Amino acid sequence: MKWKLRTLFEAHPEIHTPLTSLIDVVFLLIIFFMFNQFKRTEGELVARLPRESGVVPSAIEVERIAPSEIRVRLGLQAGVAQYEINEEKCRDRKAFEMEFVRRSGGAAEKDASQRPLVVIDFADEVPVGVTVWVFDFAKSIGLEDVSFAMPEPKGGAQDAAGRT
Amino acid sequence: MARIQDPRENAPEINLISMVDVIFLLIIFFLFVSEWSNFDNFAPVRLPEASQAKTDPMPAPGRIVVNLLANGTFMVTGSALDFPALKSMLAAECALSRRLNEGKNHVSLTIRADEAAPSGALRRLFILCLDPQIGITEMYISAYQPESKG
Repeated sequence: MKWKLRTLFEAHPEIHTPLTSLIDVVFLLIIFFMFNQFKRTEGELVARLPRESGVVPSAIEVERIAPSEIRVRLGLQAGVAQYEINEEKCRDRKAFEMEFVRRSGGAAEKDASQRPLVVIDFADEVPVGVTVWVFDFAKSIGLEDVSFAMPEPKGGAQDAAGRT
Repeated sequence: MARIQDPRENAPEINLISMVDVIFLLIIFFLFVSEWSNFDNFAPVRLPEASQAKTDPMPAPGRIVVNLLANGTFMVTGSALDFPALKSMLAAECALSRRLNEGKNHVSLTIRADEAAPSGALRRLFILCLDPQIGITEMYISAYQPESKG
């Protein structure tokens, strides 16, 4: 094949490949694929807040924790995230996942009205990544009704939550 | 003696390689322009990853993007805002929306929060949205979609 090409070019010296243009196109292709490779697709998690502030159970009620409610408390200790479900501490993230799934009781198969409400209560210093992970995990196991606990508004014992 | 010229000798030809070259340049140009036209994509924010995050091909027109940087600073359209400035900006946007939509607030908020940012700043933003002057009820938390493997 190689000798055939060589003889072809020797016989017809006017035949040539425009190498510069070819390299040009190849470089453009490289840039295009590099751009696509490093670009990450961004999505959104929908979080709806109540029309009126304070939808949620009062502070005293929250203490009792309704059976259809899963209250997740997130903290940070020595730079490590701490997970708590309904006042029960979880050893690590794996244990938290298992406990969360157990308490959800197969939420994905249940009717929307039967699914427990999840309230995420996070300490101020907890990284957003951890909070969003819990939010995302709750949604991935079929718990669509997720709220964020808010501090009590001044002058009332209401606990406002961002409901999804 | 005059030679009769074959018309095929001077026939115009299209140089395909150069054309492909130009087309690729145009594609890359428009890709970069569409990406950079959005000031919010410039914010130095590393979003968390979420499997349930969905892309919205047609975001509502009244959507405000608030970036939350790792150090807890808020950034809107490329400029850093302190909390009172953010509050007055959101209040002004919501007031305008109410005036244009017969008292209804159509403003929604997209939060692009860095995964290392303190959640306390996120909570402050939620509380701000519940403020009667603002009253934003629809919020979107941006996250990267997991990269497909294999």
